[in-house]
This record gives sequence, structure tokens and C-alpha cells, in this order.
Amino acid sequence: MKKRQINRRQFLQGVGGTMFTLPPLLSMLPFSAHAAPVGTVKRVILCPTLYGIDPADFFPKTPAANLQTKFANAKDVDVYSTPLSSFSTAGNLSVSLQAAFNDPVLRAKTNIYEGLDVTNGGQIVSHTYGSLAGTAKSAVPSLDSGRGPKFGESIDNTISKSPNFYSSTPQIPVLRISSCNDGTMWSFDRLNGEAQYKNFFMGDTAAFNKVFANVMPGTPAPSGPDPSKVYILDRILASLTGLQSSKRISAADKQLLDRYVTGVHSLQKSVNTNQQTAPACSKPSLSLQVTKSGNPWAFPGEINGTSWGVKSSNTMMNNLNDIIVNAFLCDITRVVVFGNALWQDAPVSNYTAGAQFHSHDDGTGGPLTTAEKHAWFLNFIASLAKKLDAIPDPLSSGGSLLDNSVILFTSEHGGVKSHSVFSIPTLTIGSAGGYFKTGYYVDCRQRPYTKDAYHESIGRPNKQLLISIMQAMGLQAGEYMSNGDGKGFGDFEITALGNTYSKFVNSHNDPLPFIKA
Amino acid sequence: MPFFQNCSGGFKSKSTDLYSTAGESSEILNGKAIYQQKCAACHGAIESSTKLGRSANQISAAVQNISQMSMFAGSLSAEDMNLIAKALNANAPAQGVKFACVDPNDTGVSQILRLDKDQYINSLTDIFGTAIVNSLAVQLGGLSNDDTRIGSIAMTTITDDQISAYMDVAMAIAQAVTASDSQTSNVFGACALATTPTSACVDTYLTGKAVKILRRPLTSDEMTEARTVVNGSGTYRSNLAKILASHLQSPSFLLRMELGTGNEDTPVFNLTPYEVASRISYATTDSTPDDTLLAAAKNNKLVSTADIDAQVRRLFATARGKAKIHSMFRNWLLQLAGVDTAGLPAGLTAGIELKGLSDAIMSETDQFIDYIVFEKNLGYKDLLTSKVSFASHAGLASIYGHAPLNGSYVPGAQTAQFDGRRQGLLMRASYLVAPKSRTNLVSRGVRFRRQVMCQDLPDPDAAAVAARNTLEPTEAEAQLLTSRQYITQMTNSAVCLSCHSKINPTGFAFENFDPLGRIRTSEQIYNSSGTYLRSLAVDSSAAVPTFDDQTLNVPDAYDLVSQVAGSQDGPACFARQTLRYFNQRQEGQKDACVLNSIFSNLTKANASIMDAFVASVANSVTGVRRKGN
Repeated sequence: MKKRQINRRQFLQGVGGTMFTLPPLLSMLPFSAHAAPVGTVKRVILCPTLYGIDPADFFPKTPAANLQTKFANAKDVDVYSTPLSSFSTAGNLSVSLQAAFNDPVLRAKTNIYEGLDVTNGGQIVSHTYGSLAGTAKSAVPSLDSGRGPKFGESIDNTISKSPNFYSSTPQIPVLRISSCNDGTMWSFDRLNGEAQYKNFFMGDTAAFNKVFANVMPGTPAPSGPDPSKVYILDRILASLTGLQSSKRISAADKQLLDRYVTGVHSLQKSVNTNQQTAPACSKPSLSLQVTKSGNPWAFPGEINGTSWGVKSSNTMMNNLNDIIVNAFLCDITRVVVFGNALWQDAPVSNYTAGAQFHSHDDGTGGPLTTAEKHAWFLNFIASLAKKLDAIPDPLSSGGSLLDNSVILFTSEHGGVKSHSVFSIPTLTIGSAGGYFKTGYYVDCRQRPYTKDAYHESIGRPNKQLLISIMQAMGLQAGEYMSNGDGKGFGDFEITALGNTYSKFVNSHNDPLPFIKA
Repeated sequence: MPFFQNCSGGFKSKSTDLYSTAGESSEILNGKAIYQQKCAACHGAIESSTKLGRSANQISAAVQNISQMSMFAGSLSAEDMNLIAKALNANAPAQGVKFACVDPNDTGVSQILRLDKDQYINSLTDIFGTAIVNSLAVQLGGLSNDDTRIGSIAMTTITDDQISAYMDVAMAIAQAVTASDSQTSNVFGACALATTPTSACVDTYLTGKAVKILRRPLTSDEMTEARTVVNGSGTYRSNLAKILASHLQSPSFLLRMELGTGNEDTPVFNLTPYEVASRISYATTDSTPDDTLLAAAKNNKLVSTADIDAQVRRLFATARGKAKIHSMFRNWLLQLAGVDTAGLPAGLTAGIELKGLSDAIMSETDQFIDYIVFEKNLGYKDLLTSKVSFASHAGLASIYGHAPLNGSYVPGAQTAQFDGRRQGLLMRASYLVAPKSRTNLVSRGVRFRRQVMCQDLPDPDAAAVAARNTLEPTEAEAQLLTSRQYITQMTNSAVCLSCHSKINPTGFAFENFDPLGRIRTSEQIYNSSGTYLRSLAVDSSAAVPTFDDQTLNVPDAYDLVSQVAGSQDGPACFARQTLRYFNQRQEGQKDACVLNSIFSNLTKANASIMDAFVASVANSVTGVRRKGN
């Protein structure tokens, strides 16, 4: 794929010190006056969340007769589809996809996927932080309370490391933000077989300060490597080299020192490429809320840093959306992980029962379902998409910021009460610069339906969609195939609950059929 | 006979051997072979078996009474059991001694650790002051909290994100210090304010603050390097900033290096006085050595146990020392907490003053810890059985069943007393509360068995979760069940009962306390909207599995806690936890002597938790490190 990347110096020439204030000024920026870029700069926003949604509450109810069944080739078997425009806009698509998704423009840029399964071979997924790596929970029960992902690394890291994606190191290769503590475990790589979780910024204040740390009104950051940092890193390496040779360190100690050396090398690389990263943006003006710490379940409450109220939560989520939009405009990052766990109870009602109890409610008993709580997050995702869609991409030759991006919403399991492996609630918005077809309900459940013990039908590997996203970002197969169970990317076992994925033995490392434009 | 007092040497360990292995007879070797064949799969290798110290009779009873053991009824002869018992008791400590001490001058393996986030911030604060550190919110925001649980790899690694954040912090501090005359003078000496500082001026820093940052004197090479930089190109202050930032990124600051002195080829070696100071300081205060400790290191006054003992006691008495001890109970050991009452039904909290209750719960717990550890210098048994209360908050006093104290407690003032069957740390609201209408029965049981009894309990696996979900009562069914009945039904499967057969009875015993920690005889049932439905009688009687997998019948937790408090295994577990917490590592075979010292301080005639804490830091091997392979 031919791409042209615009560095910040070029961007500076185009936008030069414009003061961004959100909202409403974003939509008023005179992008037509910018230097005309050529090519497409792609971006990806990954939005994982805790708990699943029972299928009936997430997926549109579709008469089978409406589904298209023309398979282009053998690998497309059991991928059915129908345009989302065929659904009435008079009512919501589902409990969790509420009025925001009735917007015909947004629907036209959205895909909803049913029948994407975690093919880990286990009976159920239970909780896992492996949603962005195509893996399920670790075999080590004690690891991260049993949620530790089995293999590889999450795709945000894989994408950000790829020279096919970033031609130079940006200020923030992956922007990881979260509404609160439990949204912070989705991004990881691996060290000595154990998942190494990446830091998230919790709350809007921390994210804002980090993203715009080097952005001053009308004052572009200095370019070129910082000589002090270069000196410091050289000194650290010299110290570490001396320590590594000591006979009084053990093999375990040496691993720590080796890791330190590797990390310093990585930072050196970033420092040395800083000459291309002078941003031309100004800090947006936002009414910031809190930096989160403490009990992740505390809710509702006041803005005191340990718990949030409804109003402040909504403001915070809107701020996080605006931070993402501006980070893209400033080209501070092109990869975002937006983890969420702040979705219990109060944002959608005055219900105040314990979140843990409530989150395991599948709708059969309580007044609210998890699907309704996911709706709270999904509405913000829809809002983010609309904001991105309102802004022409200043770094690309065409399309909006949304058009050149892909937003993925996914969850750690399917049906919430059963913690099912089947039909993980999944949708994407945006075409990633024309890579994806959009505007479809895509049904990947195998035919004939094979009901399992939890009354959900077996589908196909959900990791194929992650592969599609990586390919959409320009990655080659060799860049992700080793991040898995030895059989390719992610996790693939043929059987689950007595059902079989044997149809996909030869294709589970392929991108998802049908959706490539 | 109380079961908990009848545990001769039966100490459990997940990964360590606290027994010596010399001089084994053929019987013992045969016993080990049978154990390996029949028992090791479930109970671990013999050296670290969860059943060390078991007798043949106890093994026989287990085969007869425990369903998972019934398979051995026909395949394990009485002679086999005798031999296994001999192997399990091969190197048991002498009667009355809990751990088999072999060499008091030996120590378990310790690794080089990275400073955790709290230690890092504390160290920066103690070096540069709160004003500087408070200005670093953005940079420190890039550091996530560390998982400091024993066994976590977080402290033995360093990530790219952390290195980047450390750099941001170092640069920001260097900039802030050199931008201010007062800070420049404080860190680099008044000579640095001169228009043209002398070439020797930098030595003020290199022999002062730099030693505090690196926790050791600089080497001659480091001194030369710094002098060269400061006199090189660039402004004087910018060069100082460069040196300072490099020191704040140095492994000597970010890692707790222990490279020692003497022969390099031995697995055990002596630490330098400065390394001893660092070890003491982080063990007691989670921060860098203060000036007194550094002076002691410089003057070689950290060699004798008496010298070290005095420093440890001094540091435990500081604000940071007290905070470290509070944190042990609050966060690390028992996960104590206040309560968010917003999630509680109004009917449950009627008549209770809620404003300030959550904070009062925790501050009263801290006062209790201070009273036991510092003011009265009491032991383990008092920690679990004292009936003294410090509740001055009307709501908390009401929960505890006494009139509120008049004003916040100060040492020496009048205390209150618990009413009824309530005693010690484990029957305080901070252990008992739950932010919902039902008690946290399982959490109470799990924490008790893991933390108070040192029992290994894995988190539920996928099969257990599936079984639980299948059995979970519907809301309509749940409205007719007590919490005990609810949990009993939900965990009534073989896969769940492998652990819950121990967890549940332990939690049941605490069911005479409601979600606020009030003593109760009935349980109020509410629907999910918080509407009161009915009251059901509470049953807190329980048959609790003991340390020896025998059964202790108790009417409620009061008797359970009394039994543990008076046992040998309770304080032995606490001794292990103490060593783990203050040394940030798992105990090993070579730690038996230190463990004995901690244990004896917990159980001696004038038992003292403070003495036990001191013993865990100041002992015969404080100045010694054993490196791993």
C-alpha cells in the first residue's frame, strides 16, 4: 500500500500555531488552506471493555432471509451480511446500540460482527485481558486474578512497532487512556513469558497533561535530540554495563539489568528521532475533571480523586474523546487504546447496588442489564466517531479523521453470565482509509446453528478481525504471526464445548473474509 | 484439646523448605519415594510439602475423612503411612521451636529490586522536599502503581514506560532545582550561586546530596566525570542539571543495588555499610536513608546487631515507619478498608451516623495498631484478642456497641471496650465491611485463610466459575436465602468445594457481623432496589478446618480467632508474613533462624510485635546477602 507520511514540521507549515479549542472550533478550522498532503495517514482506536453482553442485547435482530449468502470463495464460508441501512432507524438496533447508532451517516461507517469467537479451546473464557491479542486467559490461575492473557502482545503494540505503520517515532507511539483502574490491563507485551502491562492514563487530567506536555500556544517544541538526555542515557548505559559484569549479581539480577539496558536503548532511539517531532498544535481548552486512583468500584461520588459522580464521569469521557481528536490533529499519536470499566450503575440510572453483583446480571433479574451499561460507553464511542468524522484529515489527501481510522469496540467475553467464548460483542467504525467495507451487519455464525450449553451459536475466530485491522494499518503477516500459540497469531484450538472450528484450520491466520473493500 | 495448639512443626510453605536435609535413613528415603508417588501431585515436593509434620494417624484420618483422599484407602498401607510420616517429619524442628534453624549466619536468597512507586516518591520527597515533588504531578502520572505482592515480577523488572517516566521526572527535577536559587543552594551548596563558582564547588553536591541520591559515596571515576561535565561547555547550572538528572536515572538510585564486598565468588557475601543502611531504610520507612543513617554507615556503625537494632527502632518510630506498619495491615496483609455507604440500603444504615464513617473506620484501626505495636508494645495474641476500642465517631461507636470516646484518642487517654463477642483486629469494621446489603462472606474467609493461616488458595479457574454460574440462585431465589445459604448453594460443586470447603466455614463464622460490622442475630434481606423484604435468622456456627485439616467447631468467629491467637501456627504464619513484608521477598530454607527470632518475639512471655518487626530487619544476617543462581 502506498503511503505518504507527513511529519510535524510539514504539518507546522500547514497549520502553524492555530489555537484549537474544543468544541466548537474544531469544525471551523480552515483545513482547505493547508498544504495539500498526498496519501493517507491511518490511525486506530481500540476500545476494550470489561464483561460481555448477552447476544440478544447487542446484535440486531435479523430475519435470516435478509442475509446475503454469496460466498466469494471457500474461505468466506459462513459469513453472512446485510446492510445496516436495512434496519429501521425508528428504533434502536439493540439494547446496547442506542439512538446514537440510528444516525444513518454513522451506520454507513459502522460494521457490527456476530459470531466472532475466542477460539481458545476452553469451556469458557471467563475474564481475560487478551481481547486485543486474540488470546484468552492464561493457564496460570494466579496471574492477574486469572485474567492474564496467554500469548504474544496486544495489537496496539504490534502496530506501533511496525515500520510499515510509523516511519518515525512519534511523541506517544500508543496513547493508552482509561476511565478508571480496571480499564488499564488491555495493552501488554511479554517478558520472560509473562504479560507486561503498559501504563494507562486514568482520568482526563493525566491524559491531557501527558498528551499536551510539549504543546505550548504558539511555541513549537524545540527540535533535535536533547543533548542532556543524550548524555544522561550514555551515562546510564555505562553504569549498567559495569554492573552487568559483576560476579555478585545472579541470573535474575542480570535479567533486570538487561531489561534496563534494552529500555534505555529504546529511549535513546526515541530521543534521537525527536528532531522530527516538533508539534504545531496548541493545547485545547477543556474543563478537566480528575486523576483517578483508589477503588475502581467506587461510584457514584463526588470529584475527589477516588470516586466520580455521573456528571463528572460524562464530562471526563467527553474530554477523553476531545483529547484523542486533538492528539490525532497534532499527530502526537496514531494509536489509541481507550479502556473502560467505569460503566456501572449511575451513568445510566440512579441504581446503586454493588457494581460487581450488578455487572454479572444478565438481565434476567435486575432492573438494568450489562448491555445498558455498555450502552453508556458505546454512546461515547459513537460521539468520538462523529467528532472525528466532522474533521477533514489534515495529514491525508482525502477523507475525515474517521474515514482514515478504524475504531474497534470489543469485550472480554460474550454472554456475560456464562462468560462465553462465543459471539464477542464487536463493532468497528471507520474504513481505515478505504480498507474496510462499512455499513454492514456481518454474521459469522456457522450454519446450521450449533447451539452450545449457553444457547449461543459457534462462529469463527475473532482474531481474524484483529488481523484485518493490522493489515489495514499496513502490517505484513511476518510482523504478527509469532505473537501467538505457535500456530500463528493469537490462539486457535479446533474444538470448544464439543463444537468445531475445523473449517478454519487453514484460514484462521487470514484476515476476516468479506469486509475488505 | 484445642486443635490449633497441637500443631507440631506442621508448617506449610508454597515454595520453600524450612527443614534441613542432612542424615536421612533408609526409612525416610523410602517414605520420600512413596510420598513422591502418591502425594506430591497434590501436596508438592516433600521439601516444601503442605503437609510437613503430619503424623501417620493424621494421614490415616485424612484418607478416611477427606473425599479427595479416599482413593488411597486401599492402596496406602499403614506401613506406607508410617514411612510417609517419617519423611514428613525427617527434619522437623525440636519441640517448642517453630523453624529448624541451622546456621544463624546464613540467609535466604534476595534479588536486586527496583524501587516501587511509593519508595521512589518517598525518596524524592526526602531528598528534594515536598514542594519539588508536588510539582511533578504530570511526570509522576506516567508511572503506574507497582504490584508489590511477593512473587510478582514487577519489582524485578523495569519497563520502557517506566524508564521514560523516570527520565521525565529526572529532567523536571533538575530543571526545577536549577531554576531556583534557594533550591540550587540547597542541593548544590551556596557556592553554586556565585557568578563564577569555583571548580571545587561541585564537590559540595558530590559529597552531599549525590550520596543521598545514590545511597553510597561516589566512585573516583564518577567524581572525575562530574567535575569534567560541570566545567565543560554550557552554563554552570545547566551542567549541574545534567549531572543531577543523570544521577536520578542511575541504577544506583532506581535499583536497590547490593553488590557487597569481599570475595566475589561466594554465593553469600557481606554488604557494604551503605547497602546495609539502604536495606534498613527501605525495610522500615520505604524511603532513602536519612542523614543519621548515612552518618552511621559512613562511621561504620551498622555492624553490630545492637547498632542496627537501635537504628531500626528509631526509624520505625518515625512518621514513615508508622505509615509502613499501618500499610502492612491495611493494604498488604489484610486489605482493610472503609466503606462506601452509598451502595447500602437505607434500612441497613438507619440510625447510623454515616458522615465520616469510612475514614473513622480506618483511623480507628490505625489507632489500634499504634496502641498494640507502639504504645503498649504487645504481642500477636493481643493483636487478635484485645477488646480495646478507640471509636470516637458516633456511627462507628454505635457499630462497636459502646459510647463514643470524647475526642480523638491520644496515647495514655481512656479507651473504650468492645461490647459482646468482638475482639482484636479481625473483628473491626475495617475487616468486616462490605459496600452492599450482603456480607462479603467469601472475602472474609479467603483473607483469613490466606493471610492469617498462610494457606494457599488459588483463584477460581474457568471450570469453577462455570460451576458457580450454573448454581447461582436467581434473584427471586436469593431473596429467600441468607448469605450463608446463598454461598452454600452457589459453591456446592466438587470443583468449588475443593477450596470452599475451607473458605466457607471460615466465612460462616463471621456471619454474626453484618455488612457494617455490627453484631447481629438476623440478616436483613433486600431486593436489588434496596427495598427491605424480610429478616432471616443468622447461623454463625461453623466446623472450621484447622491448620492440620482437623475440624474446629465454633459458635462464631470469636472462638475461631481465640484459637488462632493462642496457637503456635497463627504466630508462625504471622512471622512468615512479617519477614516477607519487610524484606520484600519469599522466605527460604536459610531464613529459619530469623523466622524463629520473629516467632519467639511474637509468643514470648512479654510478647512484642514491635520486637518481631525489629527482628525481621535487625538480625544476624542484616549485613549479608545471598544471591541466587
